Amino acid sequence: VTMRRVLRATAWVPHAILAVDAVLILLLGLHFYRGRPIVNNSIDIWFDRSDPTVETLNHERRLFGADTWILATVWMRSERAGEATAVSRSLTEELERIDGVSRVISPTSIEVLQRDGQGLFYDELDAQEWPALRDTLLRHPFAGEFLVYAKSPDVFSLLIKEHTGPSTPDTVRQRLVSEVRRILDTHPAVGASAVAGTAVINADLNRLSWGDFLLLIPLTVVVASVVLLAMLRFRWRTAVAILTPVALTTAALIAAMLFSGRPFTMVTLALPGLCFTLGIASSLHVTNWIASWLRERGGTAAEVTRAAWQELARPIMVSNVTTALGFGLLAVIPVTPVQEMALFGAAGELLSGLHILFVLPKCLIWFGAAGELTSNQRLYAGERWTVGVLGGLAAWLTRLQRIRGRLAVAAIAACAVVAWLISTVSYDSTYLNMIQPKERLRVDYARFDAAGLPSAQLTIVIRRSGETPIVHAALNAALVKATADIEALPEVTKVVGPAAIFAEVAPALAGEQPMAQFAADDSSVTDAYIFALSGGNTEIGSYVHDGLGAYRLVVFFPYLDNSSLERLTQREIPSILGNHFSTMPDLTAKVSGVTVLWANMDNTMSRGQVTSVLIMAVTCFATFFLSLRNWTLAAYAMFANVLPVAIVAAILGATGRPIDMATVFIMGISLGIAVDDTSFFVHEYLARTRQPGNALVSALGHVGPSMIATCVVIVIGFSVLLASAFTPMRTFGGMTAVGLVLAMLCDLFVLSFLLIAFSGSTTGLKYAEDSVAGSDVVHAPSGTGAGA
Amino acid sequence: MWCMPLAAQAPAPETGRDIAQKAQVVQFTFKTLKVSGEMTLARGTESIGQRSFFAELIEHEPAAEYDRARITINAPTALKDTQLISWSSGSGEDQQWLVTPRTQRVQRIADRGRQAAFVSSDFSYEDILKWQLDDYDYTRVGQGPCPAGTCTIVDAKPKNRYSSYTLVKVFYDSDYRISKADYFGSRPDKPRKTLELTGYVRQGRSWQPSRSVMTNHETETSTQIVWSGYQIDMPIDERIMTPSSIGR
Repeated sequence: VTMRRVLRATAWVPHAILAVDAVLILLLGLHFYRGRPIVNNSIDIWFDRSDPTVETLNHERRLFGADTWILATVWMRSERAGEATAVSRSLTEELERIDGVSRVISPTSIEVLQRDGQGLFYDELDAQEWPALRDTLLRHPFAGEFLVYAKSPDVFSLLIKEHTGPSTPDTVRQRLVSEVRRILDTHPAVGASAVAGTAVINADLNRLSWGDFLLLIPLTVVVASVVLLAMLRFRWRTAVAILTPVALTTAALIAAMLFSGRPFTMVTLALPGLCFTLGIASSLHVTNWIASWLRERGGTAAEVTRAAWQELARPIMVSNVTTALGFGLLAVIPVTPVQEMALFGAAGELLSGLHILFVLPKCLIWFGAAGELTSNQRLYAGERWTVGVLGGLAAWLTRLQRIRGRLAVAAIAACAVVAWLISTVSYDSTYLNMIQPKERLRVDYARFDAAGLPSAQLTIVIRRSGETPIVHAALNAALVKATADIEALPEVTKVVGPAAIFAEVAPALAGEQPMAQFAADDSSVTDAYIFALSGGNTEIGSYVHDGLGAYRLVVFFPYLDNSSLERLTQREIPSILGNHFSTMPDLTAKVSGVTVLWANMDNTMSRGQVTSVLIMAVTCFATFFLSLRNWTLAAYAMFANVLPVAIVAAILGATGRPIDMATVFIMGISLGIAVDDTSFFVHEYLARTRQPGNALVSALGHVGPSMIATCVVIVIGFSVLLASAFTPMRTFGGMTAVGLVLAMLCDLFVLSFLLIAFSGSTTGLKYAEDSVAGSDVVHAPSGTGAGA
Repeated sequence: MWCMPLAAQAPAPETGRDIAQKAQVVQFTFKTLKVSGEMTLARGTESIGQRSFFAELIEHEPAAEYDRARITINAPTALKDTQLISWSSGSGEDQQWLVTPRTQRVQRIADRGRQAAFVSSDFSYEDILKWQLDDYDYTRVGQGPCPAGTCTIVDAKPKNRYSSYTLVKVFYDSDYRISKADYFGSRPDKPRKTLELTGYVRQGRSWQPSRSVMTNHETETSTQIVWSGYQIDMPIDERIMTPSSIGR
């Protein structure tokens, strides 16, 4: 009664919603007009903000600068391999001309400590024939196995220092990377080239995301609209009336995201499309209800609008809140894009609920759809045939009751298999696996991998807490030994850092003094670093902090998947660091880097997903229990919803496809969406048991077509994600679609069977029936009366 | 830092070399100079390092004799007492030595190392050396805007084959003080670095800047030096600037 009073007083609500929409859309236009960022899929935004490595990385950037590096490797044409010196010089010069590039360290530009008749100096090596230059560099502590390689005489690398950061506009970063590739690819002496690095990954991820933005949202809108129109037997007025609030919701959501400074990421790109299709699905329920109401009672526009608000407020609230929870609960994962997907997804669902409840009925009237809805034709195409099939299904399920005991045993066995398969599911967000193999980035990494050359890096930050303006010989020895031990790990190609700097300077300073004696003397060791720092080594700032209180080791290695990377960063390297630094007072040694943070994200997601799915399951069960007032029925409904989600997880386990930053949403969202139809179906069944005839046949005839129609729309909406450039998004779209089809099948087969096979013996069912019949409608009656 | 001369009254029109010569005479009109410098290394607006140092210069009249300079780092503590000794002469035979603080090792920095960064700043060893008139070829190219208003622009082409610059475009204000200098490398269209000198103050008979900022356009970093405590013609023992007298 209170709700009705409230609803009566809210005649202005549709207008207010439309006004807010108009403002948001205006802001969206302004955002586009000003050229503000629309897509940002930079790797940096994917970190788990609670990961202590974030703090280490921030500290590292403060100490050693925020420059990032692109590692470019060049394979010379075999017939021109001897020209590598000239090629290196020419490439260095050209690359240094690119805006955004600070410096290029190449075999010909690296400043090597040398001595001539006058004294010491840091400078490039003199122009030499490639074999001689290469031999010299192979012996150099920094360049050996990093710029030139013992096993690959025709290959050399260039370290391109550039200063694009997370705040750099996409276009700038993409231009920089494409220029680098162009220069490398078009040199006539270069047979092949490959580039790696955070900037390259960011540029490619953003380029692909932009492609997704241009493709997925329009494609979803077009496909879903066409399907809707076809499904409604080309009732275009009804279709436009449905599409209007749905489109407004979607536009408002996009505006809210962009205007709040949250550009689309790889995963949030799916939100507008999902909002659109889920909105259409929910609208079908409401349209169906309004069609029934108009046919049965007729009435004015004001009456039908008010009736819809009064009767559908609760069911729509239940439906949208459960779906919103499916999104929103993943906000427990402290990874920004995941939280954006979770919170904006939830907000979109709630916004969609408001539009469907308040704006859709008005639109149906405004667009003159009442005439279409009251025609004698059934609402959905193929509805008559569907009702017939569902009737046959009900009869078959009724016959199956005879073997329900055996079916229960088989079901238990199947569940055990599913549980075992779920236990094999792994979490892996290896970023390279997100991209299709034909993409240049994957091709480049494959090239690095095949040649066993480094393409990834992590860093180790070693800091002293006290202000000691001296590098103790013991600390230097530990740095040297740790570097050697890490370099000896099979995964690691090269470690660049203070040890390489010391190895270059110390012999020059020691002169005739034995190196062991020089390296054992605190003053000599300190002066070696100071000489490098003051004497012109331009690279030392990247590895040794000014105050000699912090050191950075940069570990280069061929590309590793996240699990191998975790082993390297969480076991192998920490063990080496422990061996060499744990006994030193006031000293910390921490692994850092973007790659490490990315690998750590998996653990965060696995913990977050388990938590969110458990909370979602409890919430769904509570929702079922509160609306059905019966433990057993709630358990049946819950089983029918958990089963498809479990099967999806089992498929992931069986196919070895890991859960990543996009597929992590499959289970929560599937559950959130599926709950709605289940609740709707159980209530309809309970209502029909009080009427003469076969309750199951009647209930299926009533709600089945709507369930199937909404399922088709949603599945098509999710299937559009199969066109995404990102593998996780394709998996997310495909598997969620599979999950929702399974959810519908579980409702039609499993839940139907449970209801007729076991409800007879269910104590309290009668109470539930009475309770449902006596209460306000919890879910909108649907269908066109068929089977009733 | 002392590479940029300044001048008093000068009749126009002069050649580029005339301007440089007059400016240099005025800037280095002292026998000795002592000054403190606070160096701030920055990336954009973010400070990434601090240095403080004390500089001492001895000027010698005969062109063949070396003008000498010593820079002693006071901070950060790790670099404290690191010294750079520079000898430069009109004959172009410049010499530099780095003296490490703890072991007092004297390391000669070869000519080829003159492009290297001095204490990781945006100043190179070449920039630290005193500007010698004969080390460059000059061309007066006209007038142009500069931080001081309108300046006379002189193109100076380094003769030293180890110079990392192909051209230095020097902007002299109406009093022949250096307002700005653009240092060009391989790209003729874009300077690699820019030096701006501001806040000139009279020191004896010379003008000295109170602030020098070197901006590296390639790395987008800059180094600012705030000068203070100028002392002119105070006695300085030449031996402190003689590498052979610095014991190991």
